[in-house]
Amino acid sequence: MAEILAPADRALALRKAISEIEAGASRLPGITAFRHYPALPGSYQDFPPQLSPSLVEVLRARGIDRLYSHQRLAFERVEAGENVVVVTPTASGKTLCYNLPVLDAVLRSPETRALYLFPTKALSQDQLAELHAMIDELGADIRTFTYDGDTPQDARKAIRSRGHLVMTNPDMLHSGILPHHPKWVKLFENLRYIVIDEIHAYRGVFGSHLTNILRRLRRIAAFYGSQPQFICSSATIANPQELTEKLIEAPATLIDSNGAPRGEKYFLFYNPPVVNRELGIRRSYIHEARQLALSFLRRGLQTIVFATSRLNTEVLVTYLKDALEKEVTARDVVRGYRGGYLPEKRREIERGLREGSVLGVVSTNALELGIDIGNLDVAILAGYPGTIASTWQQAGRSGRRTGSSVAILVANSSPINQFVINHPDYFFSGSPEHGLINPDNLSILLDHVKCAAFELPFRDGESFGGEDLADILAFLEEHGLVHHSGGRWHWTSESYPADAVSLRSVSSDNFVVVDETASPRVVAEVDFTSAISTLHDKAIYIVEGQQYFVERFDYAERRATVRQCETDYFTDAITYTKVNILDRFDSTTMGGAIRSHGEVHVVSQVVGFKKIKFYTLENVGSGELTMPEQEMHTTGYWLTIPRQVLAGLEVTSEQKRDGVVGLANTLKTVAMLFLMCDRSDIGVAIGDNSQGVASVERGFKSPAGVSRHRQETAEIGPAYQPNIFLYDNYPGGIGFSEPLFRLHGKLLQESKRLIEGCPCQDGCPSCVGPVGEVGVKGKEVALSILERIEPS
Amino acid sequence: MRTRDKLERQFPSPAPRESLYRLEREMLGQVAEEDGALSVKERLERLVAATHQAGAERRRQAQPVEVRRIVSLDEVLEGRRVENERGAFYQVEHRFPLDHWHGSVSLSRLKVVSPSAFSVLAKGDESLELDLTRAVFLDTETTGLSGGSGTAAFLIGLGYIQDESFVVRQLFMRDYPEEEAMLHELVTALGGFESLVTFNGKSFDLPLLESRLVLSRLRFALAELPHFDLLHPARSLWKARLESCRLTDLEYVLLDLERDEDVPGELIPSLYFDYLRTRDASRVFRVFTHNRYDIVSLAALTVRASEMLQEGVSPEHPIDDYSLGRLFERAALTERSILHYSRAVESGVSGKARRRSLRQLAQQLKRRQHWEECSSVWKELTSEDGPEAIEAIEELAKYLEHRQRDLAGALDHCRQAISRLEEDVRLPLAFRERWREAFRHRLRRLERLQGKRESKEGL
Repeated sequence: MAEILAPADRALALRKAISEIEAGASRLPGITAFRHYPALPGSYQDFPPQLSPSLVEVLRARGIDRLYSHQRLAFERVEAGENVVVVTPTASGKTLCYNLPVLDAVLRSPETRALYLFPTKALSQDQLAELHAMIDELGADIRTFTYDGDTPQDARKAIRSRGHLVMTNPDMLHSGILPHHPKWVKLFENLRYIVIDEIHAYRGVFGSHLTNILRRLRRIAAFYGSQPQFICSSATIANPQELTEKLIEAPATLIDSNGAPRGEKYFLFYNPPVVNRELGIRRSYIHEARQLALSFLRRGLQTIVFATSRLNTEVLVTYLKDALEKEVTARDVVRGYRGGYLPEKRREIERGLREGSVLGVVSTNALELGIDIGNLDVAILAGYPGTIASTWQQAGRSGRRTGSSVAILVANSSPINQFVINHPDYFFSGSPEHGLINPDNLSILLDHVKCAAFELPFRDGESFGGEDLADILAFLEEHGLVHHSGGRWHWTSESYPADAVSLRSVSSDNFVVVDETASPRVVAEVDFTSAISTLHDKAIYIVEGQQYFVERFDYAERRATVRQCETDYFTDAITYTKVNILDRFDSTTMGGAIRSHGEVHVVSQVVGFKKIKFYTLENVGSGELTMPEQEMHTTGYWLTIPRQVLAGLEVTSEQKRDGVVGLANTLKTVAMLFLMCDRSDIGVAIGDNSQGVASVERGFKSPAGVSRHRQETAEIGPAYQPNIFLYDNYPGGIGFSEPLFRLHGKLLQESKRLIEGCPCQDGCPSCVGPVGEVGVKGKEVALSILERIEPS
Repeated sequence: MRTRDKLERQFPSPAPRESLYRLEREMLGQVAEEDGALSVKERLERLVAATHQAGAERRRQAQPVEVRRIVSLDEVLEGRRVENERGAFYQVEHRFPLDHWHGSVSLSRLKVVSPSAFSVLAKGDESLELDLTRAVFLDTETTGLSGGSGTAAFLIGLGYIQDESFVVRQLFMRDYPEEEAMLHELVTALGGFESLVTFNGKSFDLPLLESRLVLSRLRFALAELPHFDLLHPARSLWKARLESCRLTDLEYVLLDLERDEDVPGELIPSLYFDYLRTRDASRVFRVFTHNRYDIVSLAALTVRASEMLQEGVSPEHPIDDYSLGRLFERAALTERSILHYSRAVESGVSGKARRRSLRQLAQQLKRRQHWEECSSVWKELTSEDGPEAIEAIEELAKYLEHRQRDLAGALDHCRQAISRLEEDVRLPLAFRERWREAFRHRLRRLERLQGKRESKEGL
């Protein structure tokens, strides 16, 4: 039927669906966890006595007679002059935690200014709408604007001088506001609050940049005589306070006792059944997620499906549309949502979800952050999102303050997924990940010292970050970028340094996708790294289920020309990676192997693609490509397997090779768990130490890829002495390599345990990798190598 | 490990790209113009060749006897150190007698320009009535074009009339610590004038100076000084005639001047940076010459622009009458615009300028409800090519229908237009389709009307 239901009917339909699953659970071995969280009442407090009467009036008019306890606490701590970080789940009224003190301050003293930072433009739009509504009801003259790449040029001047509350994102602050601070005199002179929403989003590289941007911001604020206070919010992570304090480099008070009531919630883990034990192949999790989603959608329950990649999002939208739109007359009851869609389209989908005209949505983690899409009945996570924190956030997209909701995690066959789904306790009672940042990564720091020098000359004796600023400035002077005179360091270059720094990816260039089926129009914008692997010639690019054939990939113009098409396959790129060692910081023999860490030079290139059939996922063809090489200078940890270890194995040289590949796959999985980082944060590669050069592919192997690859590396002679590299997938490194070097022994130990404990015969995606990738002896050889090199 | 060592390890030579570019420019001189035509390989080859020469030179210089001689500012410029409450800076002053001719313009004419001309040039902004004897011409030389707080003006040139001379006063910071004193002087100096004249100052020089004042904690409301920016009026006046409205191009055509040995604008920042590091003024002094020239040209071109507006002066090129027509039209001075458009047509401008002049002329006449003259201009326009002719036919059809009650004549024009639209392949396709549709619609409506009228008459 797939028509959206009235609230009362929904609760009934949901309860029915859950009891059916519950009844079948005993017969369904795939369900590895079935948790029930009963409804919780809220904890309330009166409005703080000092809160402006007009605010109280507006809140009462909205039917709010009391605050949640955490809202009141946040207000009091902020009033007391403390920096705070509020950690509460989705739908717990966190925006009031920062809007109340900010609005109250502006009401009391109209000169007051505040800056709101959101990780994405979409979030600031959302918050703007909410604040506007509240300010309208207040009837106060509080001017609130977003200031980002979409702000029209002619509106900017007024915003700079008149905006009380300016909502922006770190990118705009970095390149559009700070370098032009003299135009923002009013804001900086009166800057009292900086609100940082979704602070857990600032981990790794992005967070390391943000710390530096805040260093620059504080420096500029101090120039104008202000010392802003920080109000932050975070989803549940292991160390919200520590992360906040590292980002703002000041003490922060943690507020984490949620006073909001919570509706009843079910959380299920589901592992698709094994269909081929030899190969460790399970039924496709995409199919399983689709079936589950359909069963809820058909009952008229609003459902969100999270996919782990843009590609899977599109595949799932296609499947669900296929199935549902045959059954109902209404179009667009199921929509896709991800970065790369144009803003108007995204707003339209968000509205559709809130108003109920959209029944189902398939999204990447783009909807994980606090964009207001209302609260849905069901969340299906197709694949483990990678971290405990993200999983809770995605699951929290279903759920209301009253009524029931359900969240289901469907595992894929990757090692981490299999680990989590088979160890539910790790997830349900384990502590979530740490947000790690390294703001003093030298290349990040150097970039921001340049930006800061551009913004205001450094004075002798000033400091910026954890490194010796005088050394950095002397270095920049040698390169002609600054000039020391009169006790200050002045920027002496024509360049605009902020433009050369991208906060989120290696390059700030975006590619546009132009559809030339009819008159040319832009259908999407794709960031540099994804573009290389999704927009190459002959790729099938998918936007909201519509397929496009890439006719021409124009690297120089940053453009791909596409034409609408209908095929029964999609494409997947094959990437080769090559690593050169530039310098060893440390290198010691431990057990039977050598561990090292140091600087490496990484070159990767997309060399081909595979055509994969929808539904059956058969490989139906391939093609070769010559895409431009991407280079990176970073830090890495590597493990060298001495040639005598391999020489001692009684297997063919190809099987030795397979064992090394299997071992590399396992090491990466274990490293990710240790470092609590995202999959894309670490790169893995294998090289031959005897030649001093490393060369191996990374990623999928297609029949074409394998044969090509095997030809190149068939010559595994007696001198073959491989290095397995785990490198920081960011120029300059983000601080993972040194810890891995220290954890070397534990890394090998846990890898061995993981392989030994896996029930497959010859290797599967959950341990060393599938047989197709590591051969029939891969698992065995990987284990033998580990036994020989394991420290005692 | 020390930061220093880490830096050297992680960022070994070669030098960053930006200094390579600078090196390239310095070695090859003016490459920027032809750059586009050269392949990267060719540029590199040239650069390598130049580097070899430079390397040889550097080796020669390395010998103690042949060290590059440091030339001081005073050796190349007749300036002096000036002190004020914020410190010291360097100042150069040049006086031109008012009978000095800058190309084809005598500076004495600065005194006779009518103040009201500026309000017309500034699109009818009536507050802008400049007395050029009380105005200051301003131009800055900066450390870059990118804007933002890291770009500084290191040389500020001011031009003004004083004691029967045209004075160009240049304020220069020999190093960053002198900026504050230089800006303080600027603020004091500006206080003595009624208004400001620049070339592109609205979007470049003034915002930049405002930022620098904030950074030096000097508060002065630059934006409140009446400001005439010649760039946009220059475009309105001369764009129809000239391809480029850059100051040096205007100068070449309108003042009959050609600069020799002028320093290319894009080299200016690196010349200053070079001076900062070496204290050798043997190259940076060329920036002073450049800036002085810019200021005098700005003054002369301001005279030229305002004099073009004088009544009874015939412009040197017929197409200027078209531009003047536009200018007066925008300033809502209809009579003057009619005068210039008619003169443009009479003096025989051709092609697009003629069609546009006719069209605008008709529009002005229509506004004044001078229907007779107006319709004869439209008729004249119909014998031209181009989209304007089609528009004119429509106007005539409307005129015949509503003013003359001549349905047959209007119908006739519609048919004429449709056949032209069908046959004239030189018109853009989209235009032809859109207008054909409009005329067909009009035709149908007129036919209906005529039918009604005939049946009425038949009764």
